[in-house]
Amino acid sequence: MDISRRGLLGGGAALAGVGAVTALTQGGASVLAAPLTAAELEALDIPVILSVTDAKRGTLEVLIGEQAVEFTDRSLVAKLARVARKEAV
Amino acid sequence: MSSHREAPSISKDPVADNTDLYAFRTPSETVTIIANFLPSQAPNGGPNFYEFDDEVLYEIHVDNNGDALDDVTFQFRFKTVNTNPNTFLYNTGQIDTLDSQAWNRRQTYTLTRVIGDQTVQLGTNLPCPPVNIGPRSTPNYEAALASEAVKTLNTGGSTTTVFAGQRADPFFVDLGSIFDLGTLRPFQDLHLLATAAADGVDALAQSNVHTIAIQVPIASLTKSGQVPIDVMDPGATIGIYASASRQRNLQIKNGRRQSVGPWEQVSRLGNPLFNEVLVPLARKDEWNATKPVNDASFARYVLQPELAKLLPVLYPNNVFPNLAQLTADRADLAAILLTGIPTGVVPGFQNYTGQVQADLLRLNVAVPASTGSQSPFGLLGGDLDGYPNGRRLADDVTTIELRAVAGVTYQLVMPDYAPDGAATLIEDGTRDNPGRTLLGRFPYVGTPYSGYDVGS
Repeated sequence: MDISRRGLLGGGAALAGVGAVTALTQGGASVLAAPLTAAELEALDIPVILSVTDAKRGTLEVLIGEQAVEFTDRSLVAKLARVARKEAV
Repeated sequence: MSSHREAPSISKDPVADNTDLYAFRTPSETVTIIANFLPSQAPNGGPNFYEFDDEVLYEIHVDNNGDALDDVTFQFRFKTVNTNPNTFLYNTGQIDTLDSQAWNRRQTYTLTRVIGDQTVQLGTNLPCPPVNIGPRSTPNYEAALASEAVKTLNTGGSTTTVFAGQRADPFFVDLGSIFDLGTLRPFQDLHLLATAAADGVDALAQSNVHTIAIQVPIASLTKSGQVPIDVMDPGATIGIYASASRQRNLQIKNGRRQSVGPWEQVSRLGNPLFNEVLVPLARKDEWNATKPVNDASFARYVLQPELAKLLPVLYPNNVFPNLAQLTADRADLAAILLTGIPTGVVPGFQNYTGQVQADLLRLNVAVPASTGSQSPFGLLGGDLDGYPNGRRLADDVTTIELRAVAGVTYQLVMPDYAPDGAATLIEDGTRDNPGRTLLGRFPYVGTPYSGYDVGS
């Protein structure tokens, strides 16, 4: 799995469609760990963009289609921050 | 002007740049709304000629109950295709019909109407005409191509006539002088840095725009669902603005572009010149992204317009003695631009939409269209169907707004105020450009200048 910043931003590797995004905001780490279903994989045919909107508060925004879903996941933000810092160095 | 490249961000994104908005009553109890985009097109701008952007959402918004929120919205989405993968050319022969095999780069569009939570596709796969290239590529342009792209749609419970494509820019203004320290050539002998008076130069005299035009029944836009006949009817006025939006994220990779996320408004237009002349440079991008319902935060620039303070400085020696002394808030401009003109200001007329301050082009649809000659000064010239009651293509809005800011309309709300003589005369001198033509039928905007003919 590509966990580079670009990979996360461009591919949305752990996310699959609006349904998965909604589940992520509600289910946290257990959802992240679950294998993707065929339907979820198919949903990745459209671009999914993840961005950190407030690092201090741990909030992120997922863009998919014409929608945006905001959620809070401090551990994911921390992981992204560390990956980004490592890449920047 | 009136909104060509008027803000820093949108000046770098011309395909999403609103230039002008017009709305006026037309025959058979209809209203025609025209929203222009993509400013200052050089007609000979090939080989990649101007076109709408598939990644932009173009919209016309109508408020009919005074809350400055959408009640009826028309959405336009474009789709561009290349039909011939083996040529670098826009066309490989004469484009004599809209289905010509010689036409490589084509656009179609979908028109959607939104009323509340009801979304209706009024038309799909509607054709845009090609641009006006020249007599060999696009002969008989108006009759064979542009007119064929006017479509009448009988869907969604009413009839809509629609057109989207290149047109001659109907707006006129002396950009070169006005942005040279507020110079008005016919009066530049009175300027702080005086030179001999001269005729105005229309900076848009031979440039094209891309027009979106719709003609719809009045009854389909009003809150009552009827055609108002009483000008003083509070429900007779609709507020209109046009906008362009992009999705929040744009990815560019390997030459391909892909947009993702919610639509973000990047350009809008209600009254001409609002953002251009009133809003400070530092807030122009913010204004473009703001919905009209939130325009109260910009009201101070209407109440105390910078231009009104500049005129007596740029034209000294008592050209504007009374304007120089006018320090009160400009209730006249607030009425014209933010709320509509209430009852009692202009005899027999109002286009007031309530206390919500919003930059909307307000049209009292009970006012019949003028017959015979029209005054270019609109309401100031005695035409109740002219700007700022809607806007007709020939209304000289630069002069109307210049004179209003200079104090001519302040007398309407403060009868003791005497406008300066100069305020009733100033203009940029571009109104009579002989090359500007309009059509007598929908979409009314003139045939675009041909690339071959302009500059030759």
